Amino acid sequence: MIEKRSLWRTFKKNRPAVLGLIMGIAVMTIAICAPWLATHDPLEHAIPSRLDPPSREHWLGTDAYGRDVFTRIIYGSRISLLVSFASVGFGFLIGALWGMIGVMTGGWFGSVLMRGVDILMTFPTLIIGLVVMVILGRGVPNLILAIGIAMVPRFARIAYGSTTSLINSDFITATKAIGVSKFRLLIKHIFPNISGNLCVMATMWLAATIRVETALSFLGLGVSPPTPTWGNMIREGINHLSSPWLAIYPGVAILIATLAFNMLGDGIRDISDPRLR
Amino acid sequence: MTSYIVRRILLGVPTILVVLTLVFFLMRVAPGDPALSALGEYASEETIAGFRARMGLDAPLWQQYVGYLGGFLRGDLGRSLISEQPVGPAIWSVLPYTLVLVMSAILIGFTVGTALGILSAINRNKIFDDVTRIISLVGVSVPDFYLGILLLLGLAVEIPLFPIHGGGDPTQPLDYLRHLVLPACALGVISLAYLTRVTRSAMLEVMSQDYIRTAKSKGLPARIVLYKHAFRNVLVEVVTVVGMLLVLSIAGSVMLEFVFSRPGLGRMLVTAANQRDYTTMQSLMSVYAIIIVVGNLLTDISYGFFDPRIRYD
Repeated sequence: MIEKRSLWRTFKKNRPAVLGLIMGIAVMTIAICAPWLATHDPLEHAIPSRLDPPSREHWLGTDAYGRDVFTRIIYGSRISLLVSFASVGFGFLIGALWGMIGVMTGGWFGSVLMRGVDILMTFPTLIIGLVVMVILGRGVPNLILAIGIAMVPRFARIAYGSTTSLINSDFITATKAIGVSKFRLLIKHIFPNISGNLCVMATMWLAATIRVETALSFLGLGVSPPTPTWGNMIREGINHLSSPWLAIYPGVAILIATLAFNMLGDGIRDISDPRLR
Repeated sequence: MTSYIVRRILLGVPTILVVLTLVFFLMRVAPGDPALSALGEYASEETIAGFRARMGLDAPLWQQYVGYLGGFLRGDLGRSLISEQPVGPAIWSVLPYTLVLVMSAILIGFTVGTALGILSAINRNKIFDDVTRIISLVGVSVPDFYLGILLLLGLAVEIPLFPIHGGGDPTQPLDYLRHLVLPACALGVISLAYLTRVTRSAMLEVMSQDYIRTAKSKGLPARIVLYKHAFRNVLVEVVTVVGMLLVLSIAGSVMLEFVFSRPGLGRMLVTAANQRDYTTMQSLMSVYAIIIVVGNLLTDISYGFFDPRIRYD
């Protein structure tokens, strides 16, 4: 308990991290409360007021179908956050399993698993995500799967490193000695001990997955229109360069979200690494 | 040294082979018949059969795979499912655009990033340091395609200093350069941001070393201590992240080629992805794999150049 309290005290001193936490909570609150915060219907067309610049009626202007940009940005946060959290979660679980099994099995199978990680790591997350999206087709579940798959090798490598340094410790030897099964050892003893490290990386990668999600949507490979996503909105924006608000404001939303999780992630990494404290 | 390079090249071969195999089979298990997606749903049976025979899609899978690998070794990357034209020449014609974009972005990031990092470390906890840290934080966070659009809106649409789209004419250096400036700057920011961070922390670490204190105490001018003693050692740390920056910049080049309608591998990939042109996609993936493997090899070899203590035997 004392340990936890001192961690919180260190965290509180890191002003960017606290700001990141506040911004992150704000973005999540906006996503959850979207229907109450939005001023219009995100999908309703209003052709007479198409491409209206920002005004008192439409705070951030309207798009080519007369839809309210502010409302669509608010709703867009839902897809970005959902995809980002779910794909990091997917990468976390599968990657942790992959890395732990890589250490536990050892031998040729273990090295094949880890060599696979090395090969997948040579490719940018965006390109892996893009290929998987083409194979699976568009849609939110596929987007989560595509980005999740791209994140797996990153988590697997951390899990492998953490498990390797843990596997020879006394308590693991003791657990093995009393005859605990490999599966139980993995789930009950190793996983809880490496999940701290993985959680730190997960926070840092939330921002990265938001970037990949918006990038794929921007390329037209994410969620199909008319569902509002930040990437889709910017894509529509570059077709109307004379109405710059269409591309500028959704980008500001992306920037706020990625800044929040980057600052938070940096802060958590700093307090989890005693050398930096 | 030579034996090290040969060994590294031999280690790169399985990587490329695995990528080729993985991409080949992934594209084949993808739902949807490639012939149908190329010809449309209303194509007649005969048209489809003819197409399959022409493209070699009627052969058994293993035969297609062997043919594909054999072709790859001979430098034949197959034909596009959509245009039925050979993919190889198309890739060769746009490859220089992508390489120039990625390398100039890393170069911009490297020069500006290391300079900012050093100045930031020297002025630790002063206003300059704070501003630089904010710049690098924003640089790591901002999506490259968004930055590209902002530059496009500002310096091509509002103030028409640079062209809006295209890759420029390579025979006219000035025109080519003008088309390069905006995408390269937008792509360079990510390298700049990472290199600023790495240089700053490496510089802070080096400056607290004993040999720096000795150099200072024997009365060497600060400039000499900084550039001869500290910076050489910082460079060793900095070069290690260049491999990672290459991967990031290749991903970014896909986005920026799309934003600026610039010819290149990335725009080809996006077009092929939207048309589900599997053969073009698999060829592009293998070219990317080769670029990344070669890039990492060059980075590793350059360690020895920056740090003579490293021996490759």
